[in-house]
Amino acid sequence: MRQITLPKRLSVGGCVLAAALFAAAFLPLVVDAYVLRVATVALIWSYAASAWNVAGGYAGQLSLGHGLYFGAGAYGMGYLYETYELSPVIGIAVGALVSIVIAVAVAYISFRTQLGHLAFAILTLVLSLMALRFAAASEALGRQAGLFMPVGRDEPLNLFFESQRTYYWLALVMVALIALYQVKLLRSRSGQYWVAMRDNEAAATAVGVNLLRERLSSNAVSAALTAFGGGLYFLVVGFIDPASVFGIVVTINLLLFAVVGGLGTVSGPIIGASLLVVGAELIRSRVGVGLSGLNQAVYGSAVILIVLLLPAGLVSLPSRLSDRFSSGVERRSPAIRQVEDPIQQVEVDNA
Amino acid sequence: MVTDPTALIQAVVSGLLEGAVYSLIALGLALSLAVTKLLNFAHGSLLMVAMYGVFIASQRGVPVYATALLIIPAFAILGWVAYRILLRRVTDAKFLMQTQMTLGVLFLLEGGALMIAGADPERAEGASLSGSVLRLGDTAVPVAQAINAGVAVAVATALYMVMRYTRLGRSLRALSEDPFAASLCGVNVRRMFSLTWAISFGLLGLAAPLLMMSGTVHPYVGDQYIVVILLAVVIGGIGDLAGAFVGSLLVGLSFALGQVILGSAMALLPAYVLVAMVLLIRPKGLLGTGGEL
Repeated sequence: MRQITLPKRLSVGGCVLAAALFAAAFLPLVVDAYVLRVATVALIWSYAASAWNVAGGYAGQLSLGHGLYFGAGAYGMGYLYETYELSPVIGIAVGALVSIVIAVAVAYISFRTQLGHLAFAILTLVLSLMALRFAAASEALGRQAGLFMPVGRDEPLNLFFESQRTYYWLALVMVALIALYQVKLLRSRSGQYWVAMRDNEAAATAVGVNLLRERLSSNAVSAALTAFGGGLYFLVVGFIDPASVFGIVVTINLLLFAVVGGLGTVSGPIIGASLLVVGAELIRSRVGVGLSGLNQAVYGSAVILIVLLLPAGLVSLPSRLSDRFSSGVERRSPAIRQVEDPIQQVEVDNA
Repeated sequence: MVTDPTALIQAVVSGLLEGAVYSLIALGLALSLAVTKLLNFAHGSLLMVAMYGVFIASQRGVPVYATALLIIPAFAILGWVAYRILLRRVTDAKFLMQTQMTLGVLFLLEGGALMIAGADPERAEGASLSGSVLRLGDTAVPVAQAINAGVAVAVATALYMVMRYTRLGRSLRALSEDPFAASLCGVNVRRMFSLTWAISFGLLGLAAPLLMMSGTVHPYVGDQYIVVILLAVVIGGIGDLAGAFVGSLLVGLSFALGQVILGSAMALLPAYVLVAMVLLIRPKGLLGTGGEL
């Protein structure tokens, strides 16, 4: 069973992350526009993967439909701006609100019907696919062609910045904020309840955790945060269509970034997203069109290797390495094993 | 919104036939899910690889249907090996780990196919049935689709018989209910799991030539199928092969009707709604025997 350890005031990992984020602030001053753009997108995905991690990693709410919230933020912002000239700030807020409502409804219904993990995951998946269909068919949302954001304008109140650098710093701030939130969360009572709920619902209930409230709150928070990410994505990229924000690929990416980096950790999603986004872009630019599909194949291989070699994610690399080189008295159990039923742990092997 | 009776009847017939074809693919997924409790997201991509296999074989002069004799054993062996080397590592693992693994395989296969074969759709040599249509009154029935549906029904029946009346079937059913107890009763878990995956992959080897007789293959052809068969398996209930068959028919039907009534953009919507309703009202599926969802 994963131990609920209260993190020390200043853990090594925390220091490293803080230093990295601080150093990242200086990036725009030393790189060109292309690299800056890639870095900004990497930050947005880091943020969104962290948002997924809040519900998926800490609270055990495995949603395969976060694309729905991402898209709600993006489309909410775009639609309200285009049709009613409302500031994107309001638009994102509306998108977040819609996401919260949907997330709460889904969490509530699945609690009442006692849906298991797989069913909950598929239900959320189906909902995000439905959203995709609606967006693709809706005239107001631009159908398949999508929506465009005006670029090059400078209206800070509308979150339109002329300089790409400002968007980068905005994304960086959001990543820092969500990291801080997760750190505070882990130490708070809510956070402990969520972790308890994730690890063993029966035991959590026995200790007095209100499962319904924690489920609703974790899903709602995660949904709202993801919606903000969607809005920012639209602002930076300038264009969205149903598939790029509601699609299965979005959800899968959020999930994989978080899991590859390290589920249930603060820096995990950031590391996962940054490495995978930057890596994919590197491959794409070096190899070009000649071997398209290479970055996807490498992505897939990396994911498989991580599952086999580093099931706890990339963040566990330092500790795994130190384990290997230590005297081996205290070997951590692999995170890959599910330790719910002691009997099932017995490896049934009579080949 | 078209509601003229001829179109509706056509939709029902096409839908059921299409659904039967889906079941050919869905049954493999349902089997591996029921017995080994591992949801193979890469099932559609594996089908894609099999279809490319058919394409390559057909280019060397092998008649399309005959490629089955090559691909089925090849894929059965692949399934066995895939379990032993890769899937065994995540069989007992958390759902997220399994998902991560199979998604990784999906990306690897699609990326690899894109690199090796390119993005253009390919048709098999000698795929002579692509245009042929049978006319029954006002209804058009594509010949290839009818053949595929027939094979699907035969396969489903055969699987049902095996599961119900043979020792192998009993072992598999026992494993799907309680692997530990099954092992206590003398079931060789490892071997049965390997066999299950071999069958699951082998069924893909059967479906591929059938699909290639009238269709094309491209790296992302698996994506359309994985969503559809996922819906089918959920509707029918995890742990239930008959359910997967019925679920496939229902998905095919609702897709076809959705296309006629709602237009092709929203065609899958009724299927989504059906799945959502099943999950909320009868999470075990319409015929589910209660796999742990």
